[in-house]
Amino acid sequence: MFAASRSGLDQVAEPSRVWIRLLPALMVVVPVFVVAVALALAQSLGLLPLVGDSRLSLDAYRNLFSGGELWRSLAFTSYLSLGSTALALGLGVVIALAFRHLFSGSRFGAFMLQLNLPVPHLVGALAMVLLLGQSGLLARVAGSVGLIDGPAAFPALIFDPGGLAIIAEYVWKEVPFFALIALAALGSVADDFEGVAATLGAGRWRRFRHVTLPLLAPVLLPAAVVVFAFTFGTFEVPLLLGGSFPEAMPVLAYRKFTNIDLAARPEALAIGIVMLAIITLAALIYLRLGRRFAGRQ
Amino acid sequence: MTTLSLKEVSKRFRTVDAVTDLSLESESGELLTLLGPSGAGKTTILKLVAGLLHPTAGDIRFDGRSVLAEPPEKRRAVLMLQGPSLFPYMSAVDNAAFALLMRGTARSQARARGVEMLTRVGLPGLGDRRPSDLSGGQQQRVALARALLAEPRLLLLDEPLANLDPELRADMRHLIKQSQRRRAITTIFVTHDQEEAVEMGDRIALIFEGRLEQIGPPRDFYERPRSVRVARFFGSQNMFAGTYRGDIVATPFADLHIADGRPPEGPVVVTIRPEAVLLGHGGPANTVEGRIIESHYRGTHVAVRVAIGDIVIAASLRPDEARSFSVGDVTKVTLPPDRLWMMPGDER
Repeated sequence: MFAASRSGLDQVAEPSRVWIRLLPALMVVVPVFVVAVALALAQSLGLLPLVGDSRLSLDAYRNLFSGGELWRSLAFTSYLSLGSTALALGLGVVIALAFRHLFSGSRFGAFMLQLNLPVPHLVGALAMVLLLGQSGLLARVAGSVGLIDGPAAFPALIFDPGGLAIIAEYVWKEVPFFALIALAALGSVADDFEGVAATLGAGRWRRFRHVTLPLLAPVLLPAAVVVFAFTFGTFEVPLLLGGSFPEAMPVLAYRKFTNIDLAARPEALAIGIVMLAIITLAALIYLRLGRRFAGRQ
Repeated sequence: MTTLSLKEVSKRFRTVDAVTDLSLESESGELLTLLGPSGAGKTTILKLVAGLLHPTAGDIRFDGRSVLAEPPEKRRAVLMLQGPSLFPYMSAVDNAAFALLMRGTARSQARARGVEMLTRVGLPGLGDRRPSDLSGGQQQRVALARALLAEPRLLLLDEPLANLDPELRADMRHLIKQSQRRRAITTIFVTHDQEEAVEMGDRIALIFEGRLEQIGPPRDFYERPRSVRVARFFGSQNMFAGTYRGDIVATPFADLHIADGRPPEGPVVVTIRPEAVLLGHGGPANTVEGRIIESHYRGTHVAVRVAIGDIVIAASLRPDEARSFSVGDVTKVTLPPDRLWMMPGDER
């Protein structure tokens, strides 16, 4: 009783105290972030140019939005992150449902699921090259057992315009994340709810639809927004696994940023600002979802 | 109106026997309480009946027909749990109408019946609230409404009142019993609280370690416990080891005549309820002398302890009776033969 009420008090600790606790981290994060965004914004608006006059203009944005390049890149990037997030979410839920009773309380199970969480995306992307490339492991195995004529006949899974290897890498990395979150949400409480629903006449599908999914949604949807925002901004994976066309937005921004023509730099930073706007939107959706579900629980 | 029977049901979880060889019949429309200490397997029994678990051996029948092949959603044996098991993402009325919605009743009709049932369990006007905006007692009322609207053949209640404070609990007991009686729903009520079991149950099934220890009307458990464990679980204070031969039990303080109960001759334990012990007026049999060593006023009665040699007997007197005794008095103690009860003595 006493412990419970004390932790209850902790939870409602005055917001000011939370800020004080976060202060050391904020002191590092906020200035860097604010300065970086401010500089990017300034440069995208034609201020602080490396060559020529400093002149406030929306030229960079005008060029970007009127050309097809940005729109194609935005569509491609959205397709990559939405597609991989949806796939990873779906697979994560399926795995969690399949293993919920098998793994309940099993450390080995939890360990297996978390196995690839600490692996950096960069390493994951390289592994995809070694696995899925036309000179990769799968191609060699397929060639040596006679499934295909030679490694070159292996379908182009990397550097392809469909971005399949990119999606595969994201899904490989994020499925365990979703599965772990879903497993945590499917504790004994979910068992009780589903059991009661069954005795009230709900069959398998209705239990899933009216009990399991609504219990998972409050934790999985916000997590999906986070994964979307992360994959949307990831640079190294589309750089390593993507083709030259279409390009993901971070890759496009990087290419423009490192262009010999210094005049391309405002456009590079404008792309960054557009990405920031989209990710900020995702963050707002995340907060809104969190509040909505918090009100329900 | 459904009868439930369990035939030699066992349930084993890996290496643990949760329920062993349990046979049990409930009468149609009765409220049977399953009583036992926590971990005795009571919840497992409910889940077996509901169909959420499958027995390792044995058969479960509703109205004489085996239901083992039927999944829980077909059995209409509705479970109500201890915790607030309302779906947190649904309003109270949607929770109440859940079974109707699952059966495909039109939404407006289901909600109308939900509202009506919520009124009947004492929650008029609260249908639109989320479970989180309801008190624990209100949540359990919604859960009861939800169970009743499912028109259960069997109502399975797993300590539904355990988390409520005493006053609410008394109200809920009354509401559950009233609802159950009016509809004559055969009900299994699980509890670890013997007082609750006695108050709620038409009959009690006492479960120890997954086995049925004794089944019968509540009175039997106080006056005719089958074993020392049962007597102890029901708070029996007076238990004396002795040897039974003829009609006499030889105990260290007296040879007691006995009117009822005939286990085989040999070692026995004799018990008597404190309120059956008579002080002062000597009876025709089983009267010895003892000295009052303690007396405590308890409102409805006075708890008295009488020493007979090394043995202490607890007696319970009406307050007006108790006025004629005080601590230190030597008095006659009578254990009426028809109130003494014998149990086998060769067990723990």
